[in-house]
Amino acid sequence: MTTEPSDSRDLPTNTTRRSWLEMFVAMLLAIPVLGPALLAAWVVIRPGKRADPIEVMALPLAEIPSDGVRTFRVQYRRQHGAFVEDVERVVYLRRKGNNVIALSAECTHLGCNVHFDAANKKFACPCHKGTFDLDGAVLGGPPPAQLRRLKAIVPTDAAAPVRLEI
Amino acid sequence: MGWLESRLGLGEILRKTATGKITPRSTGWLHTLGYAALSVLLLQGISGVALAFFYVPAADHAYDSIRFLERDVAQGKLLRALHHWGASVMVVLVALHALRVFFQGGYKAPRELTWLAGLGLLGVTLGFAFTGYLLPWDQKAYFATKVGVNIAGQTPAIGEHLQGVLYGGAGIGPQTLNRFFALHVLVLPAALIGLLVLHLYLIQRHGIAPTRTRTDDAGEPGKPYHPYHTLKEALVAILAVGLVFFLAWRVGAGLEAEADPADLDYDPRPDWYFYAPFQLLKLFKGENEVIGAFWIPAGLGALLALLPFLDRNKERVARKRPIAVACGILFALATIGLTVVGMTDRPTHFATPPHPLGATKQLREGYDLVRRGRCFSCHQVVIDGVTYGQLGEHDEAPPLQETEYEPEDLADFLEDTGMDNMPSFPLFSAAQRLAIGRYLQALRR
Repeated sequence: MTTEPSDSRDLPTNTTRRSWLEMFVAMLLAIPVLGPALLAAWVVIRPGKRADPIEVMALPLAEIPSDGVRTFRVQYRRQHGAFVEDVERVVYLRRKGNNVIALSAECTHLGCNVHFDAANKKFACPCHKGTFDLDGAVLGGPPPAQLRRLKAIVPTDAAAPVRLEI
Repeated sequence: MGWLESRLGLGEILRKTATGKITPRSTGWLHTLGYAALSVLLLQGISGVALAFFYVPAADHAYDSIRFLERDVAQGKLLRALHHWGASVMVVLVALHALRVFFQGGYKAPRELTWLAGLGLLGVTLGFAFTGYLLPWDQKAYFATKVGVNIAGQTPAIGEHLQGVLYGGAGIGPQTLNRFFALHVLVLPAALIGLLVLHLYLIQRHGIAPTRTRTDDAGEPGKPYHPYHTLKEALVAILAVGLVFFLAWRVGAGLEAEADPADLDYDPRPDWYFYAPFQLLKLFKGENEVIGAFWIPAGLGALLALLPFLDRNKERVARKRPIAVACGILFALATIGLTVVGMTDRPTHFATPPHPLGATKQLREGYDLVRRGRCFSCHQVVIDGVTYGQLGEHDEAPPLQETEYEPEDLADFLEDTGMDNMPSFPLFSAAQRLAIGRYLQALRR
C-alpha cells in the first residue's frame, strides 16, 4: 500500500490513518463470524448443572456379609443431556457392625470397574493394575485416591433395605 | 480438453506450481509417505461418508445400526473394516512420515510452519482415532472412551471442566456419543482440511527439502516432479491402500458386546497405537499420576512443536547433528518399547468372551442373553484355552463349557433352578432359555 503514488506525497500521517482504517474494517468483517462462533462456543463449553443426589434402595442388613463383599447393582434413572438414561452401576457392600460400607466399583484412577478378588480379599482394577483393600484404601498401583464411598443409610428395622445416596 | 483448459486454466496452474517443478536430486522413496497418508485419508473420508449413511448417532440405536450394517448389508462388514484398518494404517504412515522429516532434518528453516502444520495433522489423526472409538457403542468403545476422557480430566486447572464438555453431562452417558460424533464428523474434518491446505501450500511454496545438504544450500536439482516422483508416490499409495483392503478383508473389524457400564467381566484395552501412553500411565502412581497423564505427553508435544526453533543447527545430515538424532532414536525406542510391553502386559482373566458374530441367530441370541443374565459374574468359561469371566462369591459355580445339560433340559432348569446361589430366570421366555442352552452346548465343542 505504501508504495502507491497517491500515498507517497505525505507518507507519515496518511499511512498511519489508512492502516488504522484498514484494521478497523477488517475487525468489522470479523464480527459476523466471531459473534456466532462465540455464542456457539459458550453454549457448548458452559458447565452443566450439578445433579441432586438420589436415594436408591439396596439390600437389608441381614443380606450383607461382614467377612466379604456383596456385589450390588444399583439402578436408577437420570437425565444425561437430551436423554433419560436408565443407569446401572456396581456397588460393593460390606457390613461393619451396624453400619454398611458401600464402595463404588469405579476405579479412582481412570474409571474402569474394579473386581473383587475373593481369594485375596481385595479389589483389583483390570486397566492399570490398581488394588484396594476391603475399606477401599489404595494398596498399590496408580490410583490417586481411595474408592468412592456412597452414603449408606441403615434403617432401624433390620428387614428394611439399606438406602444408598447416589 | 482444450476447451476446458482455455476456460479453467487448471493445467497451467498445476504446471507452474506442482507437476512441472524440479525436485532435488536427493528426493527418493522415503518422500512418498506423505502422499500415501493422503491417499489413506481419502479412503477414510469416502468410507466414513458411506458409514454415515447407515450409522445412527444415538446411544440407543448406535450399536444396532452397526450390527445391521455388519450382518444385513452386502459388503457392510468390509466397509466398516476398511474404515477401522484405515485408521491404523493412517497412524503408521503419518508417524513414519514425521520420523522421515525428523531424521532428514526437513523441518529446518524455512520449513518450520510446514512441520508445525504436520504436527497438527498428526494430532488430528490421533483425535480421529480416539473419537471414532466410541461410535459403535460397544464395550471397548465405552471403557476406552471413559479412560481417555478421564486422562483429559487430569489436565491441570481446566481438566474437570474439559471432562464435562467432552461427556456432555455428569460422567459418561448417552449424550457423550453425540459430542464425539460431532467432533469426529464435523470439528476434526474442518481442522484437518485447514491444516492440510496450509501444509500442502507450504510444501508448494518452499518445495521439497533436499536431504544431504546444509539448510543454506539448495542442493543439486533432480528431475521434474511429474511423472518421475509421482510414479513412486502412486506405487506406494497403491501399496498402502492395498494393505488396508487386505487387513479389512482378512482380519476384519471387531465388534464387542453392547456397552454395559455395570459389566465387571470386562478388561478394557485400547487399540495398539494407544498402547504406549496406556503403558506410560501404569508407571506413575498416586499423586504422580498427572505426570504420565499430562506432563509427559504435553511436554513431548511442546518439544516437538518447538523443535525447529530450538534446533538451530544448519546441518541436515544425521552424522552432523548427534544430539537431535540421539533424542529421536531414544523417543522412537521408548515408544516401541512401551507399545510392546503394553501388548504383552495383560491380565490373564476377566475378559468378555468374544461375540459369536458369524454364528446362527439363535446362538447369537443365546450369547446376548448369557451376558444379560450376567452368567459370567459367577461362572467362568474357557474358550480356545483362554479363561473368560470371573468367579464371584460362589467359587463352586461350574465353568460354562462343562455344563452337562441338553439345551431343552437347561431351558427347564433355568426356569426354576431351586437353588439358593443360582438364580432362576422365569422372565426369559422358553425360546430364550433354549437359546441359552444352545449357546452353552456350542461352548462344549
